[in-house]
Amino acid sequence: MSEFTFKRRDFLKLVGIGVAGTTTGCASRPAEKLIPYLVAPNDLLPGVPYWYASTCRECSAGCGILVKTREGRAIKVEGNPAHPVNRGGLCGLGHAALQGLYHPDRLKSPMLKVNGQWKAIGWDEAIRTAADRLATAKSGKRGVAVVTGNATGSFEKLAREWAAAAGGTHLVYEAFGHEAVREANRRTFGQAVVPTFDFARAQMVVSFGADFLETFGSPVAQARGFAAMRAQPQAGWFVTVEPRLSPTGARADEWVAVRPGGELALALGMAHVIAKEGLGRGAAGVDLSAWMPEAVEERTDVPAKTIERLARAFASRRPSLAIAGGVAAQSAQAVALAAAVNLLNHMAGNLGETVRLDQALNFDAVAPFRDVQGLIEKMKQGEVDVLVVHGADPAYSIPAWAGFGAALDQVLFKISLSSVMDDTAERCDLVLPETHALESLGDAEPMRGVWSLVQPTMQRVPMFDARPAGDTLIALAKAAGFGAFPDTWDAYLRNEWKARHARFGAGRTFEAFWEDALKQGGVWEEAPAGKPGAAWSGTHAFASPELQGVGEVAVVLFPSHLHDGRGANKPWLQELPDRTTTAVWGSWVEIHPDTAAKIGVAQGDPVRVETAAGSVVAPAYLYQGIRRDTVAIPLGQGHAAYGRYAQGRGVNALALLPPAQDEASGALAYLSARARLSKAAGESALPLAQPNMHQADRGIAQGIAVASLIAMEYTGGKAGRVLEPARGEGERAGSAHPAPLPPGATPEEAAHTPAGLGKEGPRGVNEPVLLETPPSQRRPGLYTEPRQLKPGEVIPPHAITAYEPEEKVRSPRQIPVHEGSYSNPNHHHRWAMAIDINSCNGCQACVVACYAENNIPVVGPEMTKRGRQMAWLRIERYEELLGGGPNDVRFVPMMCQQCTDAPCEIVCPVYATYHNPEGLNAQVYNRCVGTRYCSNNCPYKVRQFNWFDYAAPEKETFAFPEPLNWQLNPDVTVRSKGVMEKCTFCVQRILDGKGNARDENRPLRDGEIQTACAQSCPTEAIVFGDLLDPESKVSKLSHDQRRYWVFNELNTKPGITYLKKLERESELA
Amino acid sequence: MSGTVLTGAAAAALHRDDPERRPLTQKSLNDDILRMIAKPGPVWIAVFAFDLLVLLVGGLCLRNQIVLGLGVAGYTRPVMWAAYITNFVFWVGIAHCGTLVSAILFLFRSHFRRAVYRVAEAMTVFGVLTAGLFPLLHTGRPWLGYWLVPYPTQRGLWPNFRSPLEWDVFAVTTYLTVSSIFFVVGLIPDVAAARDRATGKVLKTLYTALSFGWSGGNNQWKHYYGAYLYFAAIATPLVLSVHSVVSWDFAVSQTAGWHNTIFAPYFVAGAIFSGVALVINLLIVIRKAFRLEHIVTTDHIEKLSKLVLLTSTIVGYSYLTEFFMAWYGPSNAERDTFLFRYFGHFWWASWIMFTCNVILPLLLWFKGVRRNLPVLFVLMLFVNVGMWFERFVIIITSLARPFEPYAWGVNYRMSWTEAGITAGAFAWFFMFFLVFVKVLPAFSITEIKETLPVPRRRKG
Repeated sequence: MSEFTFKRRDFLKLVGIGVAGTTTGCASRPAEKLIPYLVAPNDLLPGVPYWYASTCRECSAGCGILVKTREGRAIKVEGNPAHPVNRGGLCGLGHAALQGLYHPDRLKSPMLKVNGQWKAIGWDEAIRTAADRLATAKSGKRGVAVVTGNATGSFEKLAREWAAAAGGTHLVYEAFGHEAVREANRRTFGQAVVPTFDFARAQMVVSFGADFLETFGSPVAQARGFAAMRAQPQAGWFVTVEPRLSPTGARADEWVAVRPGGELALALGMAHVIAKEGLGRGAAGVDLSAWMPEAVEERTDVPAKTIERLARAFASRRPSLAIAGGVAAQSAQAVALAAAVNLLNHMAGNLGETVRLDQALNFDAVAPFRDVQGLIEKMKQGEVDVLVVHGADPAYSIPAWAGFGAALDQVLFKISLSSVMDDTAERCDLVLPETHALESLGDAEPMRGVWSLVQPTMQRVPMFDARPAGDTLIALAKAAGFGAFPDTWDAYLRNEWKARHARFGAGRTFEAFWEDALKQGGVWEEAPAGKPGAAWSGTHAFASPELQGVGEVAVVLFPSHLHDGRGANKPWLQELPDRTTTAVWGSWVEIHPDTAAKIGVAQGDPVRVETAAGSVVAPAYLYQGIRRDTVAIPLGQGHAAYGRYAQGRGVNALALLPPAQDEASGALAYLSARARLSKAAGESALPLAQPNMHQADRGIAQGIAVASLIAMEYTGGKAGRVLEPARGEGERAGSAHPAPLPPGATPEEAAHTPAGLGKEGPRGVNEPVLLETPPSQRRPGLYTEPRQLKPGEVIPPHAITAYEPEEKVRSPRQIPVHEGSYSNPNHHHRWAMAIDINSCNGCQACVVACYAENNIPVVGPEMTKRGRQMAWLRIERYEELLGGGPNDVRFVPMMCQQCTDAPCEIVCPVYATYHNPEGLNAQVYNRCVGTRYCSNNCPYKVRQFNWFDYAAPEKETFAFPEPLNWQLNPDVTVRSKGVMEKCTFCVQRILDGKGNARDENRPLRDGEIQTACAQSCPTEAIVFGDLLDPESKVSKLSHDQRRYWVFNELNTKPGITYLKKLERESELA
Repeated sequence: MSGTVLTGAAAAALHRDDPERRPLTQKSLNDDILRMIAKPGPVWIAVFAFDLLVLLVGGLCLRNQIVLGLGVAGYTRPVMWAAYITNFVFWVGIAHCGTLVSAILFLFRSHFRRAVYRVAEAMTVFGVLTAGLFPLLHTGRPWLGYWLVPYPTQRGLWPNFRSPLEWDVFAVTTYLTVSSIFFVVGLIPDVAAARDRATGKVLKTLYTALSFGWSGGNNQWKHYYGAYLYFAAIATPLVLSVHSVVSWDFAVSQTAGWHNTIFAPYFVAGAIFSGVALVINLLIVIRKAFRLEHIVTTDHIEKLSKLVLLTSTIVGYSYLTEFFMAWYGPSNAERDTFLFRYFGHFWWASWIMFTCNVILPLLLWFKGVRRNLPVLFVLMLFVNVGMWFERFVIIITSLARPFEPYAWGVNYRMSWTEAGITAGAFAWFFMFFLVFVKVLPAFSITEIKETLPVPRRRKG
């Protein structure tokens, strides 16, 4: 990291890291108890947060994180801005790691199953029991098998060595292991890797069912690149090819609703056109003659013209990028599809440009599903005496047909190292709970050239008597008398890092290097500048996949934000509305309204989906974004165990899968079944956070045609020429932003200037072109302008809004309390936000971050159904164009707009909500009586009411069962029953930042204060800052030509400026 | 009348058959009215016991709500006000009729009020007492409700005088004060009459206190009527202002469906409409129960029902105007809200409202209907059902269709707790009313006597 600048904040973090490094992380024996504050430690200041760099272990992506601790407790996880994987962003799964740490269902001690009943035992007994079994197994030569998740790094090595020493086998199991992509890359380019993609450089992206903004690959990094690409008005065209419009596909400009399994044919059809028309490189050994567009049309329902158009665009708009490999499209021809997409990339010359095989993600050790089947076979034959499972839940995530569950019964003794009773642990004989990643030392190698460290951020949560899995393995080996390992996992890890030291630690002792690495979160190579391409090396025979069974619909199974099910026990994630349906806490069946009508099913009615392998019943979600011959069901729910939040919730859709796998790689075929649909008995029940996805001309999510933007000489937020619709604005003298009138033009003429430039958004409030509408259709309310200032009328600085420049603002709002004053010269801020809905993917990481930062209670499905979710920030989804072809789905982060003329403020009878001198709309919980008038008068409906006592431990409605309450942010009040609450712009962070600046006797710096949502956003769609600082990022963005304000016509003068989504219409026509 | 001359006995028999024409003299009037204040009979006791039972259920629901939180009510996020505020506006509306009848009609010298105004006034006071419950119990933290009252504290905190809810506090308390005083002042001569006959110690004390030393002297009569006129003048503007203020709870906010300039007159008309309808219902029951048909005659009730007819047309005009303005005006939000109101999820409530308040009262154009008391009774019940639904429709359908379409479709459903508390509120009102008819003279002896022929001393 050459540009690793050393800021004050970093300094504090490093101090903290140093403290941890010397006291906890690197101590040879961690202390067993938390230190009571009777005698406070010298190096820990109450009230001062310490930050520790670590690595997220929630999925294989391995994002760098910074963990905020207060008084020795981890309370918040944020992306590490210096980390090469995620550069500061983090997804919801990562934020929810905290709920894994403090999960109330974590095991308090080792558990032994005696006669089918779990019994808590001590560690000594547990190790002894397990070691006896292991020793017997080793001597008996019948075998030990170790299954781990994609841990990568030293733990993987330890597990491998341990298994070898125990005379057994080691297998890395990851449900979404991308083996088809790896196999295809091996066959076509000779490298069995999962590549990274350089979206930012791509002119055009075609996704063949790859959910690269969800679970595929490294989602945070990909989202970041994708946003960079989409920010360019004249590039970044995105086409998605899939039978069901995924959340990733929702961002596409065009949705090619291909027949399920037809992605392969479509890719080959495009290749055929490129080859025939000589638009790209040739590929030896590939016979494309059978894939004429007309022939492909029959297989895919995609018109030949579309295929030709896509192919020509793909070949000409270089560098382009085609991606395959999503779970939802993983059929029995998964490798063939990936290979066909590789062929496209090869022909268009994208290898080394947008497809980087050299910077591969680390899925190297993940065993192909075929190997998992081998293990199952061995287990069935009784060849496995002892099975050790760590970091994986195969009993849940392997479909029933593969027989893992049945095979488990044949294993004599099963040991789980899980910290909670997941589906696999529940069926084991002994559980040796491991510590959570946030309280453990470890490392990870998430991608080539990145060695990331995991360090303990706090003492182990004392109520859970857990040990690091590495220590447990070593202890077992010692007790069973095999292998030669160092005494502790710490020692083992440090030993492993000697190699890193040799490479990166030039001139430093190991200790110094180690500490530096801990502070930084790991070590990494600079991304190689060169662009090694890859030669096409392979022949491949392509055949379209066939779906099994009979039935009128194909079944698409897709991973939800619960990933492969691992997120299901986190209440934050259960409560998080799905990005497509906004459903929470369960499963559903996405079904086209026409198909639903055929079987007489309405929204929410239970539907039975029946394949040859099994059937599930789940409520129907009527979705225009799915083909009529397809239904889609999310994965990740329907756990048989896994704690109170996951158990028995929804259905496990894997039960629908018939035995099917990819021939070439053995990968599990998720897209393999046809199903019959029928209406099932039962109540209609589908808790949706957002039942309506049409914005009814309300202009919440606005768009702007690229052509209009270009005509406006778009400067991209540099506050250049601003086109304003304002009438009479031209006369305004001395304005900071003079109206751009052509010489001699009247305002009316100016207003008409850009007319006819292109299609406008649904209601481009600030688009002059809308004034073209005939007078009878005009809605004066939408265009009402604030009054002009009287001569000599002075506007105090904090009355500035994002709504209009200072000169145009109405008289300052009266602060009712006589002490408060707008005339106080000491107030120098107007906090504001700019949200670019062109960048927002709707991933909702910000929502989870907000839950974590602001102590927001989780309320469950019934309350969600009644609109009682407590989220301060929500992502609204609006479907403008859906149903195949041009596609426009918009995501709008919606939270308190911190209005300057806030409707909520005047109606509160007791001033529980009032306007603070820095433009914030403050909510005083103590003063609130709970009339809820503020919510009724809030046009944005962003105020939440505490319907029940979520904060009282003695009540049934308590939302933070011990020790989940340890995660609560001590800087934020936990609200009691009967009061209103809402987004505060993270006022605690503002105070923190201002306090730090004051301590150091300097002005605040832009970007120093970030709200939790802005910090978390992988695409930087949310920008927070001070509107009074003309150089701040938020000021500049607030003057972007794409700006608009939601419900501008209500004259609330919001503090949040939205930036319109780019509409790339008919670019490819 | 036929030409047949009836004999005395036949005339008496006819009068027995037609209760409206029972003989009424100065003496019998006192007897008839003060007879009501007697030991309660089994019917009254049964009704009162049932009433208390319902009140108890309502009280338990309220306890449940206070302990557990407002979540036990059916609120959904966009619909943050629902049944309780509906009840509040309904009861404030009910409370309007009394003052209208007693004060405004007094000033207009409409003498038909004399037979009915006491019942209407009592209804006013008890209606306000009922209405006043709801702003408190609908809050999230009702135990802090006193924060809405401006009182000096060491914290230097004052309520927000710009909030319509704060205006409500003043409007409702003022109305309660003035209507109570007016009620009590009007009672003085009658209570004195009751005092003179009372035998029980408790009642005697109560009447003595309430009659303020009334002796019936000429000077007292002079001052009494002076004061009555004075309070009538004070109360009159309140009839218009209180419900206007209540309407501004809605009209001052910018919620589509609420933000209308028509609201104040619309609400006042609606209030009188529902209040008079309830008065008619009460009078029909009371005159039947206490055999007072000769005091409250069909003529009286017919005149009241004409008032219902008048206000019904005003209310109907308001509905149509609102709808027209939504269509004609510039706001798409307003338009959507009104389409939703009549054709959306709560269409049934809106059509109940429209049918009961506009269509059914059209029957009142027929004299036969106005004078047919059973039919009128049912009709007035419908009017009050309709007026309850009017408030329900205004509050809930407007909130359910806010500017922000995110939450469209999350629909309110009344919970059992709300139903219990609503029923409890009716029980609360009737508890007062039942006690009233048994304790205080429910009709104004004083004023009715003014209509009777003056008794002349026979020269002996």
